[in-house]
Parts: sequence; structure tokens; C-alpha cells
Amino acid sequence: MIYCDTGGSSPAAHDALAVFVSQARAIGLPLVVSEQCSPTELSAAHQFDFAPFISNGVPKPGDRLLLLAAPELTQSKANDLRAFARGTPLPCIAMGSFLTRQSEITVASRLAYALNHEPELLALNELAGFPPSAAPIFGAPIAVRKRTRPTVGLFFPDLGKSNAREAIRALDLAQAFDVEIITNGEEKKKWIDVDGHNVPVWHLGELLPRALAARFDAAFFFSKPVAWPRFQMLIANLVHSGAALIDATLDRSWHLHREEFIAGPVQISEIAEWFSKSIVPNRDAIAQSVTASPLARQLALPPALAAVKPKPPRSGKSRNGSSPTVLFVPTNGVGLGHAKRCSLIADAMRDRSAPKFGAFPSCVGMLTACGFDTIPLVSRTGKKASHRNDIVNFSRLSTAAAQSDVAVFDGGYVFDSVMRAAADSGRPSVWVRRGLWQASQNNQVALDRQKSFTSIVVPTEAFDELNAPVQRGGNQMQVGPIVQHTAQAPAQIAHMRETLQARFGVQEKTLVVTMLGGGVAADRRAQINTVCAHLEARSDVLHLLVVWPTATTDPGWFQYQNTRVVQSVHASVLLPVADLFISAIGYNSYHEAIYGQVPSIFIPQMASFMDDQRARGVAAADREIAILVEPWELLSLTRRIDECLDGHTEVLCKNLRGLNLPEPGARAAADKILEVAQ
Amino acid sequence: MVRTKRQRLNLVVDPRFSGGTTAAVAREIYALAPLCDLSLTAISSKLFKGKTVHPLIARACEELNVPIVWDPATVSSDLVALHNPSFLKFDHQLSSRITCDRLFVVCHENFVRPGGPEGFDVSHCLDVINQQTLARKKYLSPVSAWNRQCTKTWMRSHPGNWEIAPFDWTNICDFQMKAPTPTPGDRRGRHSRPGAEKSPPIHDLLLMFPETCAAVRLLGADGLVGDDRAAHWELLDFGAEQVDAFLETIDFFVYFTHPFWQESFGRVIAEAIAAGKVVITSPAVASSFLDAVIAANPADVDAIVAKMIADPALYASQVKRSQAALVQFGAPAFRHRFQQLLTHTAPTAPTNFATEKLYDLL
Repeated sequence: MIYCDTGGSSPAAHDALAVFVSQARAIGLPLVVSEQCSPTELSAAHQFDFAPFISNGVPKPGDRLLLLAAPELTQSKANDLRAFARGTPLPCIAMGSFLTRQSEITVASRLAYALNHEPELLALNELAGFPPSAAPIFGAPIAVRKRTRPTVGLFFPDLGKSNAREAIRALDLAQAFDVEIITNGEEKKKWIDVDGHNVPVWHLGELLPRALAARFDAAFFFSKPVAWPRFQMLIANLVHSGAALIDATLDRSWHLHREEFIAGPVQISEIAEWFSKSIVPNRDAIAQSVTASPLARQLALPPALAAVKPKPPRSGKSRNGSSPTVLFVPTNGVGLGHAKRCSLIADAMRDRSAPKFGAFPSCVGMLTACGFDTIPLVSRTGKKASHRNDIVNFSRLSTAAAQSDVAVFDGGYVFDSVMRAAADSGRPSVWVRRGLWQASQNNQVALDRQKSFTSIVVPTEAFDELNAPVQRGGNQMQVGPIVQHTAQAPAQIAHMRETLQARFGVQEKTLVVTMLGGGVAADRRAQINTVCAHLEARSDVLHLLVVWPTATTDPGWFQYQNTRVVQSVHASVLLPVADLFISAIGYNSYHEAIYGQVPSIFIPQMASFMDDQRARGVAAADREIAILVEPWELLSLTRRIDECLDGHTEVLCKNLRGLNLPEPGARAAADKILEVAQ
Repeated sequence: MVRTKRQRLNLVVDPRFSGGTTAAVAREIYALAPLCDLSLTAISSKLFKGKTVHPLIARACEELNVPIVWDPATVSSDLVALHNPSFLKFDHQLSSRITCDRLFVVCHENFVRPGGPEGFDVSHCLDVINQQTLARKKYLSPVSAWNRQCTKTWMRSHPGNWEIAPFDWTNICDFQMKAPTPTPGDRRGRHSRPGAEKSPPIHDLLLMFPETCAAVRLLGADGLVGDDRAAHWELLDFGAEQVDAFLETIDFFVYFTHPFWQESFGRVIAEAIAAGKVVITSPAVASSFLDAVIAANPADVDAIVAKMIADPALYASQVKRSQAALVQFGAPAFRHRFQQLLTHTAPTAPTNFATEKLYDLL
């Protein structure tokens, strides 16, 4: 094993280590960072950076250590390395800029005693035009996807300058290219507070340099070169990918030292015209020139490190190129809605691809029952910090994403694990994202993260007033409602009714199916108890109370003679046979009821993190295809149940039959995803 | 009556170092004051910035009325002994200009480590001294046989205007001797500064200090962390106990360092011998003590200890043998070697022309 560590102890040293290891692994140097030696205090972002290459291995004969920032090695750190080595001789390449001979001797001695092997010191070469960095800087291959238009990165523009915002807004409207801003965290927040999310804004710590570099065909640099390894590695990756590098500084900090940087306009307002005339027509020539340049040659792994690269393993069985692998990652919402929706899309592409899933425990059973390979993810627990489970999931999803052609996420909040796994693997990604936000919701994080997806698929609602207009931007696409609906023949429905009645020992009963939620967003016991108690008085009813496998149940529900508590993930099969459906108004239940022409009483479930269920209920009630009852209207609920059971369901069914509904969108979503995968 | 003029000797040192070197220099002050007009020049190097003068040096100078002069512009003397040039490793220049007949740079720290890598930037330190010194002769004075070997190795690859002194400038060890215990037990220990070079790898430590010991006490074990420790060892930070008190609690002083480093002398060995303990150490260190201590490998330690415990008379005779050898490092032996050194390095009158005498002129 080849371990990697740093002699420094600052956050900057950890950052350099994470960046170096990720770059090195991309070019075939399989570095790991020992869990024993890794810093105990890491920011959340660094925890994600390190997650894919933390190892709990113990050094064995034949292992090696690469050490960054060797001149910063303290005796305390050397003691830690000694404890790690446990007497095993560990050859080490110690890298850094050694200012004096004494510095070299001090480091060499400390490492010799700690690692029981005289180290090799590697002085980092200075690169003209680049301030000395704490780590060797080299480019790694990045997966540059074909884009219809080039994407231009504006690196550290002065956003506080007069007219800068206006100029960038104008640039964003250009048809010839897309623009994104890369700045620091503080400036990013200021920009979003004023301008929102029309122009994607990044800070350099959001993604590793390879993932970020893959986004750009050209880069404008508005600030002078800095010694930050993360930034320099990003530039190295851009050089290796042949991106156009443009010096937009006043004093030509880049161009004067490196001819690979083209002197470009300093004013943002001049960029559009200049870029279209000077760069776009010459992109291929520029790419060729940059990739063959002296800078590209210098931005290579130092020979001493290249010499320790192991031979690449014999390539295993290659994936069938004609059948793309699609990784679906549904979030674990209140119910199984997201997973269900993904399974419908996956089903629509089953004949053309190899869909697989990464899903939370509550969803795994349903997905495997549908025949999909599923990698289990870890749920959040109150015992650990809120992102700890996400780091584990990032490790799993990284591996899965690297083996897939496209990653698809379905959920409202984009986890760091999802965003990074797709980006770091260089794979395209699709976000299946609802559009029905509540007015009061703060969806800033979600909207910020849409920039990381290749495409956004918005399954629409059945009714126009529920659909938000598509945000300007080329990568969003609306598809019809994604709903499970198979028309069943009357004979089939009758057979299922008979089966249920025989199963529960009843005859000729009116079937009421209730599905009011799992008790996560709100406590629904009052409504459920009301329904159970009211239907107990009716001798002509069989009441099936459906609960999710993870839902909270009340023992009192089991006392009702007319009610049967059914725990199932296959509630959808009960809808066609229901005479009355009492339900929350989640996307799936709502559309299944409407498309299935099932007469329903809808009781919205409202929580800050959920979509606007009340709006759906109002849309249905306005069309008299369902009844809307507020959660607190318990007396009304009983009256409306009676109304329905006494004949009003006929009216609802008639109105449902008269609806002109959009074509379901599972197939269209599948087509789009496969298009992105290509 | 004309009084014989005494040699003027100036000791140049950074007196703030806390190790054995400074303790040895303090003994030198007592030993040399009767022989020379002694003075002490203190250099405030970057290496020991912020530290205070070693109390032993301060006391010796006070008792013998030897003034400590800090960073004078010039040091002018017949003889100058600059102790341990490695203290200059972070300095770009020496602030004091040295003018003397003979300069002895006492090489307390080995110039090279086992296998050949430099112990410190020797060239830099000697250049710093060279640039500020005007002397008839400049000598590198080793402190032991091993130290001499390291100095010669370095000089072979760095020819220059330095000569190696004909006699060792040994550490003065004039501790009070204590009798060995008549009933030695398997109580083992070691003492050193907490530097990583001082500690053998964990597998060697476990060989020297296994679980079968009745007691294991390691003084100066600050650098052993995590998996580098064993549950049955009592680990004490450097300075946690007075050395005398610590030595009282053990019967066997087992002293090995990391194989990639070597003591130039090993004053701690002398302390343990004087305290009446059997010392087991590496062959290289044992050679500095004229083989009066037991030379062994880590794997041999258990058998040696068992043999000594089984035969207390053997234990006692080993201690006596070691203590007898320590006489070679006492003040009288040092003074004798010092005189020899001065005699052998004294200037000789030229013989290729006749010396004019006063009567020739008359």
C-alpha cells in the first residue's frame, strides 16, 4: 500500500493533502490516507474530500509513505508516524521546499527514526509564473463532456466592482456560451442574496479540482496567481484538458510569465464579443496548443513519484457499451414516493439499460422486490453529527457512480454525497426534481445545487396551475406526471375484491382504503382514529388501513372490527379495487388516484420540508374529482365519508372519467436520462 | 621571580542547552580553572532562544569567579574551546570575532549518523566559525572513539583547513560512586532526553523490556505515543523525576538508541554506572566506555539479566569493573589529556635558521 500524509497540521495542509491524493489516484497512483494518522479535526468539506481514501490498514513490509509539506514536520507528528509504522521499515518520499541544508537534515533524521528507513527527499521544482506550492502540481485526466455550448468560468472576478453584476448578468444572456462564477464562500453568498441562482456560482471547496475543471472549456482569471494547491491543481487540469486560459488581470500576472495564458479583456462587459471572435473559432487550435505546451509538460507527476506507480491491474470484464448503467439515488422522504417514482422511470428503461439503485433502508425492500439491484445507504441518526451518514453514503455512491454511465437523484434536498459522487466520478447526472414548492420554503440550497447536474427533469403535476414555469436555462425539461397506472380489466378487479374479502372473512362489503402517512411529517392518529371509529358504525364496510413499513402505528387501531391494518409497500395495487380512497396528497398517491379514477377524500399533510399538498387538494376539489378535508376538520371528515359511501363517489368517478390528463412521463424521463448517459 | 605565564583559555558555548554537554562543560570549568586563566563566552544562538542558562554552568562560574560574557565583539585568547558546533545550525553568522593560537571545536554531536547521513549541517556550522576565526591552528576535537570515527568519516568527504585533534576531549564524569545492591531484581529502566533518535523501534523495546520484568521504568518517554507503548511499562516524561531518585528504583540500566543514531559518548551511561547499576548497551556505546559495560543486542538482554540476578556476586563485580573504568573520565584524567593535547599542538620554533640571541647583538 502507498500511504500519503502531510507534515503540516493546518487546514491548508489538510486541503493540500486531499487534493494531492485525489489527483494522484486519478492518474493511477493508488494512495490512501491512514485513519490513524489523519487529522482528528476536519471540516465537513474535508471529511468528504478524504472519505474515498481513508484506510485503516497497518503498514506491512513493501509499503511506502509519501509525505507532503515535509519541512513542516514537527517532532510530535514524527512521533505519530513512528507509532503508525510500529517498527516496520517504511520507505518514504518526503516532498517540499527545503530552504536550507539543515532543514533537509532535520526532516531526514526525524523520518529515519520514525519510519526505520532513510527517506528520499524530493525538493519541489518551482514553476515559472506560479508561486511555490506545498504539493507537487500536476494535471489529471478529467471527463470532459460534450456540450452544446462552451462553458466559461470566471475565476475570482471583483464582484464588488461597479457594474460587475450587470456585466455578468448580460454575459449570462449570451447565446454563444454559458458562464459560471468561481469565487470564495463569502462572495458567493453575497451574489446569491442579490442575484439568486441564474448564474451558477461555486467556491473552490465545493468540489475537488478534477470535478470542477471538467465543467469548463475556458477560464478567465481576474486575480493573480496564488500558492493554493487546490487552485493550482485546477489550473493543471484545465491545461491538460486543453481549456482556453485567459488572463483578465490588469497587470497581466499570468500572461507575462506563461505564454499559455492568453491576454484577454479586463472588463467583463467586453468578454462576450471578444470571446466569440477570438476564442470560439479557434477552440481546437487552442486546445492543441495548450495540451502540447511546455506548461503541460511541466505540470506532470514528478519522476520520483511516477516511479512508485504500480503496474495497472489487468483490466477486468468490460461493461457492455450498448447497455448503459444508470444509478438511481432516491432520497428517503416521508414515504416511499421518491423511490417509487425512480422505480417507474427505471422500469421504463429496463429494456434499454441496466438500472441499479442506491437507496435508504426503508426503500430497499420495495426496490429489490421490483427486481433492482440496490446498494443500501445509511440513514441519519441523532447520535452522530448530521453529515456523518452522508460521508459513508458518499463512499458507497462514489464507487457506484464510477461504475455507472449516469447518476439520477430524486429528492428535494441534494445531499453532498450525491452532488460529489457524480461530479468526482466524472459522470453526467440528472436530478428528478419536483416543482411544487411551498411559498414559505427556503429552497436556496436546492437551487444552488442544481448547477451540479447535467440535466434536470421536472415531473409535472396533472393540472397546469400546479406547475411552476420552467426556469430559464437549457438544462431543465418537464415531463408528464410519473405515475404508476395500469388499467385493470373489470374481471381482474372483481377477482381481487373476492380475494380480499375471502382473506379478511367478509362478503359484499364496500372497500375503503386509507393511506394517511407514516407519522413523520405530522401525527395523523386523530384523523385515522376518526376514520376507524366512524367506519366501525357501518356494517357494510371493509376498511383497509395501509401503513408503510416504517410508519408509526397505534395499537388502538387493531380493536376495530371493520378495520384491517395492512403493512405493505404495494399499496398501489389496492387502489383500483377501492370504492373510496382516503389519503394524504403526496405526488404519487394523488396522481395514482386521479389516473386510476379512484374517488378520494384528500387530507393534506403539511410540513416545512414537503411539497404543497394543499394546492393539489384544492386543484382536485375545484374540479370536483375529489374532496378536500383539512386535517383539523374531523367532523367534516365523517360527514364527507358518509356522503361518499352514500353515492357521491359516483359523481366523483364521472368527473374523473371526463378529465383530459397529460401523458404519463416515466418513458420521457427515461429517454432523457439515457440521452444524457450517451 | 618571574611567574610562569598561564595559558589563557576561553570556553565558547551556548550555556542554555539542557543536556549532558552542558553538564560536562560545567565540570570542565572546575577542572581547568586551576590550569588556565579561564573565561567563558556565551553565544546566544537561535537554537536555544528563550531558554535560560543551565544552572550547573551558572553555579560553576559563580563559584570560580569566571565571568560569563555574552556575545562580545571579539574573543581573544591563547586557546579557545568551542563546544558543540551544532548550536550554530540555525545561525547565519557568529557575532563574535575569535582570535587565538589554537581553536578546538569539541565535537559533542556526531558529524555523521550510522550509514553516513549527516547529523547536522556540519559544513555550515564550521563555515560560520571559520569566517569569524583567525587562528594558527584549527582542530576538531572528538569526545570519544566513536565520535572520532564519525569525524574522520566526515572529513574524508569534506576536505578543508581543519585538523583532527590528536587526543579526545572527553566528557568529565566525576560522579560519586555508590555500591551495587547485594540483591538485584529484574527491575529495568532507561533514561534519556525524549528525542526520537534516543528510542529504539518498538519491537526492540519489547525485547529489552518484556512483560516478564518485575518492573520497567522509562524516564524521558514523552515521545512514545499510541501503539508505541506497552501496558506494563511505567512511562515518565523527561524531568519528571530527579535522575538520582530514578536510578534508585532500578537495578539494570538498559540503554539502546535508534539504530539510525548513535551516542557520541553517553553521559547517562556514566551516571548509571556511578549509581551502582549494571549497564547493558550497544557495542558502539560500550566501546566509549572501554568495554567496561556489557555490550549486547536487544535480544540478548533477557539472558544477561537473568544470569546477573541468579549470581549477585557477578552483578557486583560487573558494577565494580564499570566504576573502575569510569576513573578514565574523571577530572585528573581529563587534565592529563588536556596537557598532552596542548603539548602536542604547541607551536614549534622554526629550525632552518639560527635564532638571534641578545648577546649576538652586543
